[in-house]
Amino acid sequence: MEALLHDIRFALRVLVKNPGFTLVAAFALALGIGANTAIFSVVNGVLLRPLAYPKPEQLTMVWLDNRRQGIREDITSWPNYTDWRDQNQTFQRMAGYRSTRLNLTGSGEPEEMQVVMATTNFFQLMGIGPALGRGFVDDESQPGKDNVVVLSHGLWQRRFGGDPSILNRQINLNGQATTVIGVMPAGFEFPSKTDMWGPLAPNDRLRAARGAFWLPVIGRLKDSVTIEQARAEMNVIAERLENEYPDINRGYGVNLVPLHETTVGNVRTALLVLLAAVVFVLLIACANVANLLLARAATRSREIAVRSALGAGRGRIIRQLLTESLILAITGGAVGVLLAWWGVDLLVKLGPENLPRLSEVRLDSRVLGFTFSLSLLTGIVFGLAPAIYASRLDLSEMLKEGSRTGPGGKRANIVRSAFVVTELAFALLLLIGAGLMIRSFARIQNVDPGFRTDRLLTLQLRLPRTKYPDGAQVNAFYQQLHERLAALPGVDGASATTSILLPQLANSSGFVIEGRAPDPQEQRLELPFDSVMPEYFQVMGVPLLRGRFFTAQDGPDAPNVAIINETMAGKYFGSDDPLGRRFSFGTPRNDSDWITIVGVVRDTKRQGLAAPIRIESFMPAAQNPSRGMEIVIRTSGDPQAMAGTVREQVRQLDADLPIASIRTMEEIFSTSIAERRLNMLLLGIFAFVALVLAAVGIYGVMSYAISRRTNEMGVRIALGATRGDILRLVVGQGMRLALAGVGAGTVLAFVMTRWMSSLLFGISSTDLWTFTLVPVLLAATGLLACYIPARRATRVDPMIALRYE
Amino acid sequence: MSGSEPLLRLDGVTKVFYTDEVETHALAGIHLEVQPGEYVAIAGPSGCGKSTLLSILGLLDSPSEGAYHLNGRPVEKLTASERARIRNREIGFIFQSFNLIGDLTVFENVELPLTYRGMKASERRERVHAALEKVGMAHRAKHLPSQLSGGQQQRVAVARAVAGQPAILLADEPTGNLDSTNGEAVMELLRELHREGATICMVTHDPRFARHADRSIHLFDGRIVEEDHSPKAEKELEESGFEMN
Repeated sequence: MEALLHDIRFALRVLVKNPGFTLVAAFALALGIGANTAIFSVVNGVLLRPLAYPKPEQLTMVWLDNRRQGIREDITSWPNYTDWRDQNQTFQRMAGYRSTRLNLTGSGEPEEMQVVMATTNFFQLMGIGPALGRGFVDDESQPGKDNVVVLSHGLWQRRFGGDPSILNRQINLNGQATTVIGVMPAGFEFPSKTDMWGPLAPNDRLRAARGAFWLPVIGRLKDSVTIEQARAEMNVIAERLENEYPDINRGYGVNLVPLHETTVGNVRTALLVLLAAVVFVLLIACANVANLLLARAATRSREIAVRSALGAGRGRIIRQLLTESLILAITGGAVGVLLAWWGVDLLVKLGPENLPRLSEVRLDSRVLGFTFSLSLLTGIVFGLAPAIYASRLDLSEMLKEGSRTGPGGKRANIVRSAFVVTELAFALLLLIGAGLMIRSFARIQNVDPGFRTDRLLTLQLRLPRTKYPDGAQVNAFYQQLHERLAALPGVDGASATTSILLPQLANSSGFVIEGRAPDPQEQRLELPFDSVMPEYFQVMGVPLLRGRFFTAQDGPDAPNVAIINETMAGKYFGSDDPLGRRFSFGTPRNDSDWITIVGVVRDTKRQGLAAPIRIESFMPAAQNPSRGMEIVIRTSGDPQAMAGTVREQVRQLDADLPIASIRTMEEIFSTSIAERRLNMLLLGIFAFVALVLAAVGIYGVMSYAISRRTNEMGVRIALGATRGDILRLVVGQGMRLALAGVGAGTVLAFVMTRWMSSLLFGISSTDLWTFTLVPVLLAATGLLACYIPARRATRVDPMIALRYE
Repeated sequence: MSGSEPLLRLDGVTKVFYTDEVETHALAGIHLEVQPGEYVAIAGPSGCGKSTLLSILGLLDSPSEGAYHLNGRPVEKLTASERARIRNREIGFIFQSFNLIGDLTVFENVELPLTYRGMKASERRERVHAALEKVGMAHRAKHLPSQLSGGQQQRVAVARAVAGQPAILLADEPTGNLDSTNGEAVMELLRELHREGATICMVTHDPRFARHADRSIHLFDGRIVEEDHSPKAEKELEESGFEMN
């Protein structure tokens, strides 16, 4: 113990005596450890920490495995849900839920709420009940008895000031008086950012419609039942349902996915890639500090020799030097935690809206434990090799006056060179990763969405059923709004659609095409449809390829018409003219159910810039009224400047109507690629840090080598070497290291970047452009890093060098 | 002195070093001529300016004042690369501490000045072998300097100096780091080279070795205080078979 304290005291004294070395080394380590801590905080919060429910491993999403359309995680129908629920023996409970948006009016500003309508066993299944009040009772699943809600803690605080007397208070949801029966504890937001939960009370038609797919299902496994056992059982049930209801259920299985996987599965790859990136940054920092220590060991060789001569064993010397490394690493770790604190704060702020569990990201005890362990490991990793080398001194040589042998020798040079090659290889790997992300991002930004995104303002409205009970009133409202908006100065055009961007689970329905024998495989293909107002395509700037746009004549009493996208035209009509052809959602009961195609518009990237284009159809809103519409307004100037005026127009028509998310189309697209942007930004930053560290590494090694070879340079100059000869010699030696690193890094990147494939868009993980340009960039950086010490070598004064003997 | 064009000629060469406010006159008005084929020893006590003079002769340093002609050509205004070229082709250096490059083999050390000439590899190989043969180190061509004794290292250094067939060999205390036996062997080697026609300028503080030269120049406080031609007589005696003291 006393020896350890002595080691620590001496190590502290040595580090304080060399502030330059200590600062550089600690800062390099702080960068590496800080980046690791910050990213590990995110990984911990998002991937590792169990979901905040009792026995979260039992929670499982029960998806419809839609083999017909290749959708493995599809929603199901009420009859399928009840069969799954009633026939299984492996689940404690199974609940269905459906997210919707409802208008909260009455007190304060009208506001659109994110509401989850769930079966009454939902809270019991989740294992968390209301902190205040009660959950649902079975009776509340009956239509007419379902006007109750449980508030989220966040909404209760924000909207109602945390008023404990909220229970049994009536609030106005979509114009309907609804009773608050409970408040959930803080942090419960299932499935995501939910404001309130209501009981699911499907009507008789939905309860009976096996072919109406609208319900996500979640289950809780019984104690000691594994997900594999549940899968086996559910497969049997699904097969049974396929046989019982072949017309509807053929090709539908059940896919059980742990809730944790469903929640975070999409971001796992990106986070693991980032975690790998920061590990490499840390390894590069370690290699740099190890090289610094090796160089310093050379200057301390006499001290070490004296210690050895006085009887210190090799283990004792290694322990002394490792103590210094560990103190250095812990110092770096402490500074790293401060950097991470700031970094995590920034990450949470910059984090895209759709990154799951972002609110759970913080520096907790596990993260701090990780950082401490990482610091210790780091200290050993970078300290061990220099310590071993320093302990292998030739004592008799070292103790001779003027001796310059020791850890500066050939073997240490090989180790130093190996460190630099490794650093460069890792840096190249990170740079190629960042390069691929940047190229992908550039590609995605250059994707033509198929419509004009500039000067386009959008907002969402949802008319309450109580106030607008029928289609005529809905049509009338939107028609009036359209007239008001179109007449505004500064507005070039206005229209509306049920959804501007196509959500993953869009409104869709099975369809048949007149005169086309239904292919058994295609029979249940779903066709997404949207209701749009006249001029929608003109306002959006979607070109018409054939036929016509909708007009005011396509009213409720006119024949049903539709416009399809070019993908649908190509897929179902090929070279035939689709104009005048008819299709129907479901089997038509009479002639008026047929919908005539009157136009074909260009494909748009509504499902996301990176998503493949699907078949789409559009119908006039007048023929298919929808309460929820997204308004689009093409302005002649800054669209954001029109937001207040537009809001006022809506208010004048209906003061109780909340306006959700007034955003420009450019904002919407920017948000849709926010996660990619963040990944690119982070990987770019880490790659840049790696590049700088690697450049510093090669610079350091070359500078050190030159300082050790001053005499050699003097000899060479005396023998007639020109400056060019010396420059070529030093740069050549440095570049050999650089090129070895580039070569190793290219091979490493070739193998490892394939794990990034799912994060890329429009390029392969072995993109030739990136794999060419990035190595050239790194080699050029290496050249620059070698050039500076090489220039210094050419300025060696042979007189001084030769006297330095 | 012969009446032919000297290989080296220094006219009033001075060298002043400035450190802070102190002015040190390392050389003060040196006049010196060295004829082709001559063997000149520059002797004097430590700090008298011997090494400075040799550095100026070897174009490693420039005089503060005065003129220096090498092979009839003034060298004061040469560029750094021209000086490097002359060092490489016309001057061969032998240093007190050998100054072999530790990471290069004996062969590569000797080859080094030839590589700076852009000479073909085959020609380099021949020259290196010849030089190593001359100093009796051909059998150690693949060894590293660290595997050789001091005397052997200096013989390799001599081979490196002569491999380029320079006009003059400049030797700075070539025996300074050697024991007497090895020192004698190296001096014998220089004598042999001189006999074969080499021009040699050697700095030494040891009068015994100065006597090996045709002419000894004695420096004191940066000035030539004495020129001594007597060694030649001793040399002739020696060549006649008499042992030297």
